[in-house]
Amino acid sequence: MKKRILMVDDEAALTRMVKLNLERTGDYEVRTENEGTKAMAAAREFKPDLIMLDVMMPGMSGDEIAAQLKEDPELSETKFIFVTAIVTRDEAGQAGSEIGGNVFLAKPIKAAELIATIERVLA
Amino acid sequence: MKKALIGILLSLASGPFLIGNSLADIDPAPSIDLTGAEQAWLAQHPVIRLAPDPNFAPIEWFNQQGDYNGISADYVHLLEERLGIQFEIVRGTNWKDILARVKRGEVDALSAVIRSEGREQQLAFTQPYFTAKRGIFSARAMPAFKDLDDFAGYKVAVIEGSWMDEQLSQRPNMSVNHFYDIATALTATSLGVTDIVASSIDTMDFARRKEGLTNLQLVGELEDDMALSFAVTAQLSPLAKILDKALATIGEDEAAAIRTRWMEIDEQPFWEKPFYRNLALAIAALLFSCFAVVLFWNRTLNARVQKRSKQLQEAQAQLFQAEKMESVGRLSAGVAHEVKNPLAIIQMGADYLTEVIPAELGVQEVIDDIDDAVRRADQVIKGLLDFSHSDKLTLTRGNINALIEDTLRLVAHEYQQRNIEIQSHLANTNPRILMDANTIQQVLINMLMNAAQAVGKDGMVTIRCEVEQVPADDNGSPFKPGDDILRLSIQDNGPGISEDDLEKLFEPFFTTKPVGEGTGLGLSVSKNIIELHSGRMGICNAPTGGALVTIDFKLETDSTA
Repeated sequence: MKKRILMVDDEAALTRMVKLNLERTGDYEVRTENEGTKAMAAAREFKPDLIMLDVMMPGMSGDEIAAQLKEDPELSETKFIFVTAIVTRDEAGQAGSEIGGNVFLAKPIKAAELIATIERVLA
Repeated sequence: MKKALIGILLSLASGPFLIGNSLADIDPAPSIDLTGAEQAWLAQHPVIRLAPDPNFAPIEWFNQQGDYNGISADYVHLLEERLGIQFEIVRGTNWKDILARVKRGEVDALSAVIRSEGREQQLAFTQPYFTAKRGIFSARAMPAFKDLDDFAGYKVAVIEGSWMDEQLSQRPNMSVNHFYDIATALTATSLGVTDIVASSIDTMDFARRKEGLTNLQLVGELEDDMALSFAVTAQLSPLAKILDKALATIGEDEAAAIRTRWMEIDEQPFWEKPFYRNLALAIAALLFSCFAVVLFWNRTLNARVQKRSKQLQEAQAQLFQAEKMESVGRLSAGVAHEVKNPLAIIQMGADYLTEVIPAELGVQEVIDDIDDAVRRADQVIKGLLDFSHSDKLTLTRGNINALIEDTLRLVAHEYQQRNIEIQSHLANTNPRILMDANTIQQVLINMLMNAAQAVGKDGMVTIRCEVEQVPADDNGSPFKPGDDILRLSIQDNGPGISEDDLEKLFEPFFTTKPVGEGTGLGLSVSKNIIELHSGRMGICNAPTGGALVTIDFKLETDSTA
């Protein structure tokens, strides 16, 4: 059974590229959202195994979205990966690391690295 | 001036002879009605020792040649003539000295004395033969003085032993400064040591003009005139009456002639007096000193102004640089976000194409170029982010030697590949500084790689780390001369840096490297990092050639740790 992945980023083109790369493998069903509130609704409806969130987004940040979704009992099993553009030192420190059970990846990231990370998180 | 000249000529000539003749021309000597006892007394006392006041011109004084001069002198000569007696002139140094001589019995008579109760106990006075106006001289405006009681509250310059001295000493609340002669009293008042001098207006005016005390003005006249008499010691008291009889023979015309002759006479132009010559020299020396001081001050001031201007320019340049850094920092965060997303899209896009385009179409090379371009662009962004992140450091006390050695190991491979020799001279004291080791290492790597690129193949790079003292002529912020610092220097034997480039080295995005090989941010980020460590970074051309990077840190002593 394919793993469900929700990709949230305000860059529509990027979410499209991620979807193409992940679905090409045949292992994932990817849904994309480019806005915070829509992402929340999509998450509750889609019930993904993994949510990939851009940290810096207009409106709701990736952190805020994750914090709310983590309180949803139906999403208790859902994993999170944060994708950042590393524009702050804190982000730089987080990049490539795992903090509080969350994985941080730095843009730009190669598709192969992303897939490897997803496989590790969902394993 | 004309009168002065006449006066000098007169005094140069045989005074008594000339005076005697001139006066005789006016009024032939009348006969004096002396008693037999008086005549006998005179016979017994053919020589009378007379002591004039030596500093009482124009009433009496001794001129430059030592001749006894003045109104009283003329009377003395007349008395000698008419009484057939001889006055032996005793020359004292000042009035106080004269009084002392009288007391010691060295003097029989005085020629110009003001009668007073106190004096009458020792001296017998003739009737006054000459009256003079009393006035007050001062260097500043004064209220109208009517009598001596008005002097209360002012510092009065008086001649010691003078009638004024005697009078003021009898009054309470008088502030009296004693002087030996009128010229000194006036000078003191002119200089502000004392407030006023009170004496004969003519005498003071004479002395004032002679001494050139131009700031002194007549500020008041006293109601009581100064009445001058001859006085003789008690032992010679009969002489007083004899003198009175002789004085009575001097008519008003004679008296007027004498008065006219001596008033407003000046002995010598003041500028020829040694005192004034010396004063002039002193003033000239003072003026010269002032001039020299002003000149020196001016130069010092000028140098200071130039130094300050330079400091200001440097401060402005630093501020400009800091502002530029800050704006670059702010900009870089925004740019990073805007650039990293497209880079991520390109990267993901290229990765997807790699997978979906059959290898036989030969597009892999294109994909690789895209990958490379994304990596380079990402490096630029990383440089920018280092820049914006460098304001957040975690400072810990650390051993810089250990960090340098660690860094040298990191670059060793790169140096070996280019066959570049690296020499390190590290302080053997294991100096410690407060640093964020990661960022300092980033700076060191940056500098070492720059040096490697500058020397090219087979070059040499020297890294030194020494404890030094900031030299006296070095006021470069944030250190002061004498401060202990840790100086880290990296010198290469490359071609050095052109003057133009030296000025721009620390500007963000300035680079001399070929396009694609440098972001132009390394040095500006490094400098920023060093300054955030409260240190300083400079680059110059070493005297022995090549570029020399110096990084100065505040040295951490054990007590400051």
